[in-house]
Amino acid sequence: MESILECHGLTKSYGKMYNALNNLNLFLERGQIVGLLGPNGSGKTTLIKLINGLLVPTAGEVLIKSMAPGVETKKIVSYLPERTYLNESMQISEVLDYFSDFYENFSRERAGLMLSDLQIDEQARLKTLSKGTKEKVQLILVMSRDAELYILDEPIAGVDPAARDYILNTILSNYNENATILLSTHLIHDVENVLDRVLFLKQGQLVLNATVDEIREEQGKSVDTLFREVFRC
Amino acid sequence: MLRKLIKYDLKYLNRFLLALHGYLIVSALAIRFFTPILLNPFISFILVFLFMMIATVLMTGTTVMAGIRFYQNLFSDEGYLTNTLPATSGQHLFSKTVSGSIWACINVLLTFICGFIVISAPLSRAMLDFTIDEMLQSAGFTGEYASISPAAIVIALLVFCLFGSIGNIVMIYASVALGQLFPSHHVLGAVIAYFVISFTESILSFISLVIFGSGALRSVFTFNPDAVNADFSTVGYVLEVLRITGVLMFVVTAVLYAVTYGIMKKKINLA
Repeated sequence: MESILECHGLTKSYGKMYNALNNLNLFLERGQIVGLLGPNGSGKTTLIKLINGLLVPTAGEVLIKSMAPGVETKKIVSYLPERTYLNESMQISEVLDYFSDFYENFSRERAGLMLSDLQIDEQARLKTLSKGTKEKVQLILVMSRDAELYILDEPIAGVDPAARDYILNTILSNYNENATILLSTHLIHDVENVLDRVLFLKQGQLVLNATVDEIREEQGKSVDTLFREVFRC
Repeated sequence: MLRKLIKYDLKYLNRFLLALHGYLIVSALAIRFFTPILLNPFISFILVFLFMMIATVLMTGTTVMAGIRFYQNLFSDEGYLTNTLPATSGQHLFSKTVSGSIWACINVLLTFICGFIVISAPLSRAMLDFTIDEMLQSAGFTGEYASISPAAIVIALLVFCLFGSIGNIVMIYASVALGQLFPSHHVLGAVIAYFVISFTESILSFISLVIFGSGALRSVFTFNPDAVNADFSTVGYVLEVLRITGVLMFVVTAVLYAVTYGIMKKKINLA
């Protein structure tokens, strides 16, 4: 089966003493919701940045649909970073125009409907919105693209439980089943029920790559419980 | 893709620079039409001086605004969006260079035009107290340079300033890019890089003038006044300096553009 994401010996070092990622090998097929799990500093965000071309690897390679990160991969990857990445002086309508201009697979209608469901005024400026509302707006923008790989970096951190439910429902109801979602979080309990597969990252290395069903059947425990065991302090 | 990138860059810069340059034009027109009413040379002088300060600050501010846009859009949190757009590093750099250069050139042109508006005020002309021909003669436009028209001088100066302003934009971008190589001190690194580049360019200018200048020009720079040719002309000296430094500016700008591109392509490391 064709892979959507591959890593071969992927390494990212900062100086001589610190490897954020260390010889990572990975093969992800299409059509899965994958949890990229690990404690703070395990290399999740570094891996995500390498996939998106925001970092250059020290060694190895990362391939999206057999292509190195570049113009063609950016067309099919929809990325939600863990921070506000929009110019906050812009109105939401201006941001929608921006996304429509640059991404051929962006659906302005879908984004408009989701904003309307949340009663978010498109004429509002981003700087007037609360933190949680800004995160919802960014998520709506990302999920309104018909991408082949969605990368969501900590999409539910720092928001209230009701907002978390909304975000997870939005993710599930808007993605194409042939697409892959790579969802990075350390709030496993909230996302476990939506995941097909989990990747455990520890100190820059992949320590587990298994489906949720395999973990539950073979190990007889939830992903959350296994996570706490593997990453016990 | 390039057209879209330039459109959004200009949209951002327009928000600040349109209003500021509008203020420059209004100031020039106010001086032109109100100083005859005031009939006070001292106040007119103060107004002209204030106008020159505004024009100077605006010239620097335009370049700085372009640099801030370059940094914020590519290397701050906004960079997470910009660098994931389906565009190459080359397209990003070229679009920023075009949009920054457009505003740098608008600034130079408007400064020239507004300067003419200001000095065309009757009291300004009265302060100068001599004709254009007398001015040109005292500036050294004699002999072989006597036939150069005032319009040609202004056009030559304008073209030099336009190329210089584009060179400044590229230098600011290179400073920002070099600042990214300083871990955790990007802004400080950019400021240091700017001063290092400026200093280096000054040294290269001096060396170029000594190596490539004519005998008389070289004598000036080697502090040998006795060897200066009796026919030495101020205008000839200035033209030679502009020619040599113009070529140097072109080469330095090209090198800095290539360095910036290299850093954006190979060394991107968004924190």
